[in-house]
Amino acid sequence: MYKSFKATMLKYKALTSCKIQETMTFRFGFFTSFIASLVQSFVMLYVWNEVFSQKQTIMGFDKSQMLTYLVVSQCLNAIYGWYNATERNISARIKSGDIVLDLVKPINFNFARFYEGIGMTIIQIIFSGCVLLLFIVFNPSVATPTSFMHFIAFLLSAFFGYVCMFSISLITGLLSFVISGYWGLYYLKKAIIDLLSGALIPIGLLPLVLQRFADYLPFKNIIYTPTMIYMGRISINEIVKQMSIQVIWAFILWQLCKYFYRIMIRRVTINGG
Amino acid sequence: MSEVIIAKNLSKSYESVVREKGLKGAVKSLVSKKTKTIQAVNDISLSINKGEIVGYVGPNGAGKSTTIKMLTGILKPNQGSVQICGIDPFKNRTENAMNIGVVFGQRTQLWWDLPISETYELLRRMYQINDKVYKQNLNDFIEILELETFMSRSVRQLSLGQRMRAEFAAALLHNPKVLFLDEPTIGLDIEVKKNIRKFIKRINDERNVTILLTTHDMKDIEELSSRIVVINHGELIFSGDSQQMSKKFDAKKTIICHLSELVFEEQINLSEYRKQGIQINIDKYSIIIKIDATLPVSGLISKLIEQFPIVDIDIQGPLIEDIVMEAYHV
Amino acid sequence: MGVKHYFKLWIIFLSCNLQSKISHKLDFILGILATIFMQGCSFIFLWSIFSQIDVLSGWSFYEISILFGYISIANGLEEIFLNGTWELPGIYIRRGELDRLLTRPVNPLFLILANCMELHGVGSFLFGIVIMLHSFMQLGASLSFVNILFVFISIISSTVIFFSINLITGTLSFWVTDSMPAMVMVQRLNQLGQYPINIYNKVVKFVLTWVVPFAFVSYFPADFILNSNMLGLFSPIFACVFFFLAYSFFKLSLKRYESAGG
Repeated sequence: MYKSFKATMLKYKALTSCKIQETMTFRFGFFTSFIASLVQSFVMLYVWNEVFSQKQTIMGFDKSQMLTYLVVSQCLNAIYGWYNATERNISARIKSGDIVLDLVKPINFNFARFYEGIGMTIIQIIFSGCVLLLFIVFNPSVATPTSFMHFIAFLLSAFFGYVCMFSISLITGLLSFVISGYWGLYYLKKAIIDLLSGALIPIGLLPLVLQRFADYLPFKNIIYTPTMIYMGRISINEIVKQMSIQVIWAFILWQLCKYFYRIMIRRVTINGG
Repeated sequence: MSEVIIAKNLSKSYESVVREKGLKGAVKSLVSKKTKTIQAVNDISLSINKGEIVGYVGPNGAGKSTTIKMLTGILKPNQGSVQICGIDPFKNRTENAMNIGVVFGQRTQLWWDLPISETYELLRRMYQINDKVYKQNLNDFIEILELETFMSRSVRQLSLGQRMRAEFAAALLHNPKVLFLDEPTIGLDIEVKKNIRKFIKRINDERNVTILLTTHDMKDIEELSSRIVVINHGELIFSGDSQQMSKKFDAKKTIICHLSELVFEEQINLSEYRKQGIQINIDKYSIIIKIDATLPVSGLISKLIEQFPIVDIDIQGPLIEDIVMEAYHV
Repeated sequence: MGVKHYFKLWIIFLSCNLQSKISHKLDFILGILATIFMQGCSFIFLWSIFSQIDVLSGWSFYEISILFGYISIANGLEEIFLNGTWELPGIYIRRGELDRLLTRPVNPLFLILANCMELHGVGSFLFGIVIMLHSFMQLGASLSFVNILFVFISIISSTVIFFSINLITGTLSFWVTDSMPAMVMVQRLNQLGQYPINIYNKVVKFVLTWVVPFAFVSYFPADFILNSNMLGLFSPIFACVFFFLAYSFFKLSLKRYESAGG
């Protein structure tokens, strides 16, 4: 059994490695895709700067805390950020019919996409990590994780957040069977998630109506929860509770992926690709 | 006869990026860019007369598409000149555009989500086609190409064959004097190919449209072209009709004589025949003769019939395929 | 090939585009929703901030909303009418469709723009109009003829500037493999135009004014209306000059493409 596991891992590793190479092929794009996600952070940095020149604290955040929130949340956001090609790839392959090649391969479709996704994001993860490190080193306002335990919890939480985000992307990609283009759905999803995941602003600052929405949807898990864990603003009990919610959502979304995948298969076999 | 396409001493070279293999190479290419100069076309001169259909052949990478791009005004040659109907396609792009039509076998100019009539209306406006002319052409093409059956369906619902027919109509609506066809029959089934070839021959006959046809399909060449131009490694290898081509490239006819009894090499004076340029092979019950395509064979065959118990004879003319392949290897 | 001819041709393209987009109803609706939400969510960010403060760099909530309005409207109009530049890197250059355009008796840039109209820009456009109107009303701005005329003209000039920026970044793909990421990155900078430029440092202000002039899309026109900053009055002239520069760059790059073979 170990042999087959190793073989499977090698299969996926090859996918990941190919995707890393592919990503690096577009030299211009490689540099700018990451920088692009910094623009949003940039605007928010200046806006918050201006805001904190008037008031000392906003909703229990002081300037340096808000800065930390900004940096951590944007680093996370950059990882699953706008250049997430999962939907784009799936949608394009559906359109061109290449999708049948994927379906014929002896690899679980969802897992294959997952490992491809990791391949694409590894570079972004490295960059994000470096940026975060640079900020911590050079800007005293940006805090390190409250404790080592918090850091581990943060990593775990970020991972579950990633799974949630990835599943949502995968579902969106699969949905492009119903819709001819992925553009509308993708940007609609992105706008809503940016708002409700905590990427734009800490959930606590949103209008109350939206806060309620955020509580019932899985998006909060993706950025808000990990970041708050990092900053130690959640008690240990809360951490356990929030992470359990994350795991549950991650599980639910992954199941949804499988469900949508089955629907897609049915559609393909009926329509002939 | 007036010359419609005149190309003199065309040359074109490209800069191409060189990259090493693997992950290491990918990282390297991020920081430095190495280029290599490729001579795509080297001193090619062409002259095509009004009403000719010229087949333009060459292996992939020979410089065909580069030449076509220079002739259609898309690419500027490094050296040399081009004149289409007396107009420099590069300097007078708009004027030239009115005279030419293009059909790309692998790409379409039809709007995907709309019926072909919408694209035609658009083209009518774009080329400022006279109402009468437009209506006449449209009716003609609908009839000849049998477009009626699918005119109201969106292009995405059409088969490749239907699309191709609509594509041809689109390219000819504005009565271009010259038609450039780039692999027009690629991917089509045999019947559709036949019909397209019929159509091409017809518009050439009726409207005297000059046609330059790039293709890998030798039947296209055989059926349509009055002249063949062969290009390889960016250079003009040959230009002439199929007769001249057979001659130049040593095309051979193959004659297979089937025998009722075994025959042995000693029974035939092979060297005598070889001196005449006739190649003979014995294979148990058959004699296989390869002879120059232009020489008559009746004398040879009657001699062999006297000598041997021949029961059946197959004669295969030189296949254009083989001739062109020979040409490629020059 | 006079203006009349181009206009009539453009009308047919418009008709084709409309027919084509409406044939995908779901996609069309999702697209409009997407643009509304995209603008809406950054607007909610503004709103959340203003639930804590009253003034940002001397600008009130409704004054900044006008900046949002300009950006939204320019964005929307550009998407509807001038979106073709986004297809330049992928479809026209990399896939080679530009070649066919060069065999047409029509200006290639015209064809690039006329071929592609993203009608979902309507969402952005309407959102911007609503915000702008509401904000002007709340601010008690006078509905004088001059004011209205200026708003109308500045909206057009803002759209032209927005488009010219994209034209420049799109044209870069004649020189580099794929300038799409650069296009998106630069276009994203429009977010900076949603806030008064005084919150930024000197370098950024300079870039926003003279290099990637989103400041002329939103800030200066608004500043003219609200604070009579004369620089805003010149935005239309700036738009013309900037467009001329962008178009010249495009023509130059096209020449090089024809020489080098893409």
